[in-house]
Amino acid sequence: MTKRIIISVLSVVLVIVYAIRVYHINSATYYPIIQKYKVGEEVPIEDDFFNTSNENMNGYSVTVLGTELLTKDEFRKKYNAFDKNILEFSDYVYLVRVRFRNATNKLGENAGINLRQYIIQNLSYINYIECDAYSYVNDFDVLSFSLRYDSDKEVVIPFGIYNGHIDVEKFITGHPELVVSLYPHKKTIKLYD
Amino acid sequence: MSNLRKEIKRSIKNKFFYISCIIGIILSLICVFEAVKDYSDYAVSLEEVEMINLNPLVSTLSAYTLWIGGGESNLYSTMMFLMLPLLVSLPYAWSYCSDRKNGYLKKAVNEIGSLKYNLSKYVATFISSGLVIAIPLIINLLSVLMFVPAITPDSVYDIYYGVFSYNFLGDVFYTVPILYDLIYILMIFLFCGLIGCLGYSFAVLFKSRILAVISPSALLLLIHYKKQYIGSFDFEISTISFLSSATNLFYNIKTVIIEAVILFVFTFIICVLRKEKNISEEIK
Repeated sequence: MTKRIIISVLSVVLVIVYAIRVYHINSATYYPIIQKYKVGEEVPIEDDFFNTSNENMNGYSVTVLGTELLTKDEFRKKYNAFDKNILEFSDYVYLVRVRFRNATNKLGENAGINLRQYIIQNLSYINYIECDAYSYVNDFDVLSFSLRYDSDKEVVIPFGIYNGHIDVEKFITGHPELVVSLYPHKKTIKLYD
Repeated sequence: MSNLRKEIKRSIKNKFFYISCIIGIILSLICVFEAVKDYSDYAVSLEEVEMINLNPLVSTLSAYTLWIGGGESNLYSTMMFLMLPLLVSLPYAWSYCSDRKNGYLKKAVNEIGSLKYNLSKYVATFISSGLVIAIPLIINLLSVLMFVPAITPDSVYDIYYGVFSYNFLGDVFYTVPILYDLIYILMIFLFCGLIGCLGYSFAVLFKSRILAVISPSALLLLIHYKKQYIGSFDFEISTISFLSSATNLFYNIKTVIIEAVILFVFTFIICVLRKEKNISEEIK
C-alpha cells in the first residue's frame, strides 16, 4: 500500500516537473507575433518585412477593398484573356482588390512593394500571385513598384486556385487571409467575415 | 481472455523485448541529443540573423521538426529505422522458435486449442512489436519537447516541412501538430505490429530461429534498396522510408494502407488460420 502511494506521488511530481519544464522552454522562446486585420482596415507595414529589412516598406500601408472568385472561363471572358497559357494550371481565380498607400516613406525607388511576396493563406494552403493573369486585371504589368510620397494605388492581385491543391468550397468557407508581412510581426488581413 | 493476457505478459516480460526496447531507446535518446545540439546552434545563429535583419524562419526549427519523426534525419535516426524490422521481429520470432523447441507450444495447443492459441499469440506479437518502436518514439518526442520549443508550424514555410495542403492531415499539421505526431506514432505502432507478425509468420514457416528473425529485415531492406527500380517520385514502396518520418508516412498514406492490408492478410493466414495438421507437424 505504502509502495503504491509513493509511486503515485512520484508520478504526479514527475508530471508536474515535466509540465513546468515544457512551459518554461516555450515561454522563453521568441514567437513570431501575429497581427490580424479585417477587410477595409488600413494596415501600416511599419518595420515589418518578408525576407529582409532592406525591403524598406516603412510608411507604406495596405488596405484590402474586396475579393471576387471567378471560374477560369468567367475570368477569360471578363478580361478577354484567351491566351492558353493563362491560368493553365488553375480552375478558379481569386481576385483581391488592394489599395497601397505611401504615407511617409521618402526613400523613393529604394523602397516599395513587391507583389511576388504576397501570399494567400488558408490553414495548410498557400499560394502566390498568378503573374500571367496579373496584367489582364490591371492596366500595367509591373509586379514591384514604388509610390510617390503621399500617394496611393489600387491593384488587383489574382491568385490561381487549382482543385487538386484545395477544394474551392473549402477555400471559400475556410479562413483565407492575405499575408502582408512575415517578420518581426506577421501581419495578415482576414478575407472572411 | 486469460490466455491472451498471459501471452501479452509473456511477450512483454521477455528479455528479447527488453533488448529491442533498450536499443531503440538508446538510439532515440542520441537523436534527442542531436536535436538539442541543432537547436542550440540555431539559437546562437539567431543573434547574427537579428543583426543583419533577416527573417530567421523561427517556426521552421521546432520540436515538431527536430524530433525523430519530424523529418530531420541524422545517422542515428537512419540507423534506428534501418534496424526497425530487426528490432521489431526479434522478440517474438525468437521466442516462438524457443516455444516450439522446449515443448511450450505443444502444451498450449493441447490445453486451449490451436485457433485460440494462434489468435492470442498473434495479438500478443502485434502489441509487443508495436510497443518496441512506439516506446522509443514517445520517449524521443517527450524529451525533445523538454529542450526545444514547440512552435506551431506556419504553412507559409511549407517547403521546409514538406507538408502541403493536398497531403493527408495537412491541416492538422498546421493547427494541432502534436495530434499529427501522435497519429504518426499510432500508425507506426500498427505497422510495426504487422512487421512483428511478419516475423512470427517466418518463424512458423522456417524452423531456424536465425532465419525467422532475419527474414523480415532482409525482405524490407531488399525492397528499400531496390525501390529505385520499382518506385517513383510519387510512389514510395519502401516501408523503411515511409515509416522514417510523419511527413513521409502521410504523404504515402495510400501505399501504407495497401501494404498494411497485404501484411495483415498474409500474416493472419499464416499465423492464425493455418490448419491444425500443420501445427501438429510443426510440433513434431
